[in-house]
Amino acid sequence: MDLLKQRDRRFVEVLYDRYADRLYGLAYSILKDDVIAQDAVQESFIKIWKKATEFDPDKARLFTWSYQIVRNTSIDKLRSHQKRGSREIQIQTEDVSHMGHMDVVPEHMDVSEHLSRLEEKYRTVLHLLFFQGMTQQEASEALDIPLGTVKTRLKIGLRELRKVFTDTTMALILALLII
Amino acid sequence: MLSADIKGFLESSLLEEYLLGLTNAEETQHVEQMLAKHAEARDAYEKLQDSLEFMAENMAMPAPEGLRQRILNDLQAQRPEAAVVSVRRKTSWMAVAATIAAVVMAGFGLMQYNKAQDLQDAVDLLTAEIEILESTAQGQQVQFASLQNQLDMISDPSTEKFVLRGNDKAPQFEAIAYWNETSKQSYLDIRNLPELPDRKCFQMWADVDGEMISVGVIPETDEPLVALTFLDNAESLNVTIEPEGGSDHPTVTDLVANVVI
Repeated sequence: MDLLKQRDRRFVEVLYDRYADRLYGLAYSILKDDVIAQDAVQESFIKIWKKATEFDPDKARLFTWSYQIVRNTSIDKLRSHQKRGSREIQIQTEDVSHMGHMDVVPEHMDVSEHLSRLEEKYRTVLHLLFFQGMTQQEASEALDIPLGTVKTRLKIGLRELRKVFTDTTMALILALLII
Repeated sequence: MLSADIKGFLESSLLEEYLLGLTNAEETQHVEQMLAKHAEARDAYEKLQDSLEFMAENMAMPAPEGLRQRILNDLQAQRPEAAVVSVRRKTSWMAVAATIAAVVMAGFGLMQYNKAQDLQDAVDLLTAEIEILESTAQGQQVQFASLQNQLDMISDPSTEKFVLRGNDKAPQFEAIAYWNETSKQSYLDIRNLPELPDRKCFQMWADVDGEMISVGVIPETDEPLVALTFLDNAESLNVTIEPEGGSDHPTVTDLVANVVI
């Protein structure tokens, strides 16, 4: 296989091995369908490969950029698969309150537990925007709260989240030190 | 109205929206300007990206069997328009550049190389590069696009390659000049730069219509390729030893390498 192709293949393999679970989780969360979610991830990886030369590490990390591509691809698929007319906005409370699939991936359980400490109103907004691909306007309508409130909860939610995982990280570090 | 006030900016939700990819063109530009100008904005953005990774980790699901292979098959079927390049500024990258140059230059018979080993090195290196690219600690600066440009240029069949080898004055000197008259680009792959006495440097000149014009001082660098000034109608490339910082005119008696182009 020629050198350039081999290298590209390796790039996609490494990216996949590192990011696939997170990106698939994202696609599935937006699309709620295994087959379509896989298509979305597949298309996204090809896009990532094609646009790799546009990737600017000053603008975002590789994961952030990949996340945005998968999110956009999934939203596009969601729109094209939706029945014509009103968009069904589903807020599946199990998704939001667990924000994860604990039974499927037990190693994420600790993280979920910590995340559940985040107030529900913030968790909900973060979930809708990051993992259901809604715009702020759509979230505002879905939750029947003003747009300004969505923006505020986005901001504060992420700030609170940071405290959560800083604590989580600290806890992990302490746990490791104790061992 | 998008104010340039950093405090107001950080209090708004613009950065969070930018993270999500929700900002319009004007807002995006504003955010990027603020990020460029203010370390606090960059710091805040790093923290947001940490949060994104944390959330995504939480929402992760095992990717289904078969997806990986399907993606690789799909990749295989794509036309090789985009070659992915990922790099870190370390000497080891030169091994990869050398490999690529070697493949491209195979016809010249200038290098002996073990293709399989070089390929493996290149692959290992690329893996390592991706890991570094991904590492969040300080955000390594990597110039993706410019290296892609360099790679395109040296793989372009219309690019000419000229080897410069040192004469008695600097027998260890070795460099490869990539010269493209269509795209008007030129790069130098510095293979070996012998040590010079203090306050001396190597400088490269192009002979244009009998006049020697500088195309640049050759830096001591780990960069795989160094950009040179392209000059139309150059007839030869020449390297001389000059005082540190370079000269306006070459010290002809200190000519160490020369190649007709």
